[in-house]
Formats: sequence, C-alpha cells, structure tokens
Amino acid sequence: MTRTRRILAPRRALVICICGLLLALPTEPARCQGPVADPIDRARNALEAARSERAVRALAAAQLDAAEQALERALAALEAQQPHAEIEHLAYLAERRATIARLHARQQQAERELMDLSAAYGLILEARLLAAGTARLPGTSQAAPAAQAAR
Amino acid sequence: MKPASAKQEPQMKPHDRPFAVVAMLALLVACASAPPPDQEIAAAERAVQAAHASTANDLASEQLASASQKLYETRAALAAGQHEQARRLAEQALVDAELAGAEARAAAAERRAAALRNSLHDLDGQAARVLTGS
Repeated sequence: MTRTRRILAPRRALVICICGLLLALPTEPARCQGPVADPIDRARNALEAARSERAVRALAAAQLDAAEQALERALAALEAQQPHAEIEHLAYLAERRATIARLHARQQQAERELMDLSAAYGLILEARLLAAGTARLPGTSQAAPAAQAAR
Repeated sequence: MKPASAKQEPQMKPHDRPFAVVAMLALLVACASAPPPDQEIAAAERAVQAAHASTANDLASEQLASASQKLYETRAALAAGQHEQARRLAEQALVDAELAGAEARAAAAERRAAALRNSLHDLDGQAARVLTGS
C-alpha cells in the first residue's frame, strides 16, 4: 500500500502539472500566419494610401508617424508570432490611425481654405464700403447728378 | 494499536519534490493573468466622452457608435476577467473615438468652408476677382 502511494504521488503531481500547463496555454489559436495577412495588408494599404497624398505628408505628419509606428508594432507582433487576435488588433489600430491622418489633413485643408475665403470676404466688404463712401462724396459720378439737381 | 502518525499520508519523498514544484509553478502561471487595463480603459472613456461632447454625434455618428459599443464590450470583458480582451477593446474604442473626432472636425471645417464659399459667390463674383488678383 505504501509503495503504491509512493508511486502515485509523483503521478498525481504530474497530472496537476499537466493540467496547470494546459491552463497556462493561451486560449487563442495562435501561431498561424495565414489569416493574419489580411488585416496586416489592409493596414499597409491604408498607410500607403495616406502616405501617397501630399496633403497628408504636409499637414498630418504627426498622425502619419503614429500610423507608421502602429503598423510597425503589428509587423513586430507578426514576426514574434504573437497570438492572432493581438496581430489583428494591432493591424486594426494601424489602419484606423492611417484614416485619422487622412482626416486630419482634410480638416487642415478646409481650415486653410476657410482662412483664405475669410480674407477674401473681408477684402470684398472693404471694397464695397469704399465704393459706397466714394459714391457719397461730392464730385463723384454718382453724387454729381444729385448736386446738379439741387442747384 | 498503531500510532496516529501511521495513519497519515506518507511524507513526500525527495524525488517527488521536483514534480510538486513544477506543478505549483504551472498552477501559478495558469492563475496569473494580465493585470486589469485600467489606464487603457480610462483613456478610452475620456476619448469617447470627448467625442460625445463634440460634433461627432451629428457628423461621425457611425464611428462614435462603434467606439461606444467597444467601450461597453470592454467593461463586459473586464467583468468576465478577460483582461487581455478588455485591453484590446479599450484600445480600439480609443482609436475609434479619435477617428470619430477627426471625422467630425474635418466635416465641420469643410461645411464652414463650403458655406463661406457660397456666400462669396453670392457677392456677384467679386470673390473670384479678389482671389485671382484681377
């Protein structure tokens, strides 16, 4: 009986050990390279599209940098054979950051256009006010008929 | 009558100890998980709140809904003890909220520019002459 227990004790420990290791294993189906190519490709394409726009390079450089760093993290995770879910997640973040860069450039372009238009609007109003003031002065083309009529 | 100690389990033999140590370590590893992603969740909550407070509700409602949904899922994952999943969802909620804000700001600026452009055109074409310097 004592001998049986002596044999069982390490076996029991081994069973516990195996159970523990099984529990410690990641629950996600990791280490497969195939399906993660799509999200990485999407992120890479989004970044390339953003980078190819001159406005994005000029007006959203910081956002573009953030997107590039996010893609690098995704690629590093792929290289390190991290779980599929993590790679997909990082690729998603990179893709979104590339979109944010393009949106930021769009906003900056619109803000610049707004400034130009505001300046033009101010010039036009000023010109109109000047024209109206000139018209009221005596001796000008519009004021002359009124002055003659008064005489 | 046998002594009481004779009824007890046999003591662990020296050659059993490595198994026990490995088993304990394995169990510790199994029980240990990533810490709760408190910072990521707080950042995501701030971003979603900021987006809600901005014009994103009107101008980027789809993106904002995505961010809010992911924040909701983050809390559910956290409650279920799925910290890794909660971290990912929080980070995605954050980036979705930032995207909603960026989309709303771009759309708002474009709308303002379009409105002013129309006003200028209404001023009988003088805008074009001023802009072109003619």
